[in-house]
Amino acid sequence: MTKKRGWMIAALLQVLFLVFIAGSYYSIDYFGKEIKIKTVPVDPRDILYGDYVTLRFEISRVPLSTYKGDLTALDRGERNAYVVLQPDKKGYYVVKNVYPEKPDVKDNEVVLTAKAEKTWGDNSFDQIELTYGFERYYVQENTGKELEEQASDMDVMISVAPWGAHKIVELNP
Amino acid sequence: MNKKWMRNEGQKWVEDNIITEDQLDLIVARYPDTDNKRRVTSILPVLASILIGIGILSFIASNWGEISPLARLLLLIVIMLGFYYTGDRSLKAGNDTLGTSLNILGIISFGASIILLGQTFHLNAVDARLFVFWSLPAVYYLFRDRNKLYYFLLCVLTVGGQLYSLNEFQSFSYLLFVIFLLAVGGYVFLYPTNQKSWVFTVGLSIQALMFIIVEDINFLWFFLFGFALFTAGLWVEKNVFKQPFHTLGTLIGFGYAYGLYFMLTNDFSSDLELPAPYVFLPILIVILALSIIGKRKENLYMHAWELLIFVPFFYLVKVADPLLVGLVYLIVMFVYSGFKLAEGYRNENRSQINFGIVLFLLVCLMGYFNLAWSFMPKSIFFLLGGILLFILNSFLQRKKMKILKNGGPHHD
Repeated sequence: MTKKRGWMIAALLQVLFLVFIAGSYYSIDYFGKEIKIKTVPVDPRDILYGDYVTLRFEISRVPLSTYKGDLTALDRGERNAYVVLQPDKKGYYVVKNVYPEKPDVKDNEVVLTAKAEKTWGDNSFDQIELTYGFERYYVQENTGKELEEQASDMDVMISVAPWGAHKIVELNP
Repeated sequence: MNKKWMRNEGQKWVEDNIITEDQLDLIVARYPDTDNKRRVTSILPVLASILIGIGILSFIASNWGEISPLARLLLLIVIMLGFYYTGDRSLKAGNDTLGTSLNILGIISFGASIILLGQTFHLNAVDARLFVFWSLPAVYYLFRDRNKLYYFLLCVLTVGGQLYSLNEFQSFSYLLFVIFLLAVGGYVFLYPTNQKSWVFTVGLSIQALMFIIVEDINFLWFFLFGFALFTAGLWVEKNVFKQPFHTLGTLIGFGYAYGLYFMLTNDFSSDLELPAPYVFLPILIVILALSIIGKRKENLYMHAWELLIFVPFFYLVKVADPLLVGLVYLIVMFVYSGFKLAEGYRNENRSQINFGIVLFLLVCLMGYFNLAWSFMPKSIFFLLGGILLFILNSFLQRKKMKILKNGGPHHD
């Protein structure tokens, strides 16, 4: 019995996994909190690799002083971090602090998980590069050019679920 | 084997009075006609299913934009289940090749679905998790059907995923490595064959190398890994592991001897960074002791020269001129390949002799290139090198002929 029907269980698990991917994406719509952040120009000029556009945000690089934790750990390379964002006067979310452990936050603040790495920038080594996991926006083939031209100055709406999942809701030039 | 060829060949034997016509008939009847026809007919459906799969996927890819995300999800699920269902039907109908290929297409479409959904939902991968999930159905089918096609697919998924992780994220996926060790390693352990143990050993070594690269560990630790592999080849109980462990470990050791020789004799010696001796040497000594005990246990006469390439001569650069140490490596390689050759002659083993000849000639050529290049006119250099190689080769081949003349090739 198990041998005969085993493949069905295996296949069902795989279907459930695919549905879970889709489900977790859609559930962000219901539970998520929307935040607006600003993009900045991407360093390498060729930002379109095939069928996605690379985005960079204001919150992608922050001064080292925002890091509230053991700095020697950062020296050893990339590590996971919790980034606390709060809205500025114009409504854009900006980085308040970066923590190695999950912090408690106020109502108007939002926590994003990111990979933090010490980096060179603004003529000093005291910068942190934060990678959030929404730096790639997939587009249909050959439609990336116009988006690419605007990508350095856009408002991005991102929805963040309480459990940390996030997605780009829309891009506004 | 081809029946027609066999009959033609057998006819000559009949003419030479080695066998009679009746005996030839009996011999030919012993061998069933190779299922050439059956093989072709069973490969055709596999090809057909691959073409259909590509057709469906490219149709989706070109019309992807017009399909709503949920419809995409549904479509991918239907395709995947279609492959699994027809695969299962074919297996039940007794068509192993087709059924397995369809199941493999199912597994591939599962991975493709994850990737396509990731693009649809703008999910960015942060590690090699995708490959972990992808390899799970392959693990299931491998242990259920024990078909080696799943084995190779699983190797591609785990080692390939590791490479992807290295390339994209500069990180080593421990999870993938565990899957490789448990599923791939466990399977070879339970159902060993030569081919599979080779694939496993190569995959293991590649991942060890990747780990050392990612973690920024001193490169000479991989040399130690080669030695450990060699020693494991002495201790491991299963015979199918002995040869790949032994050969690959030796190759790694020899590769290091060559690399170090090249580096130390060519003014790259300042690039050589040594691993901390307080950690490296004790481990090396333990492995050395284990290998000596292992050899004794096998009751072989001690091949001390086999361990020669694993002696850490590189530490000598601290007290001696790097050029000198480089030359020590050249001598080590000479001695090693010479012993290898001599052992082949002693065992009258054709493949061992051939391996020894190639190794020996390579070392000769290497030494010649390095030593003679700088002070000889180039035309004479190449001329002499060619003649030298020619003479050496014919000498070694003649010796081989003489030794193999009586009794033909032996294999242990």
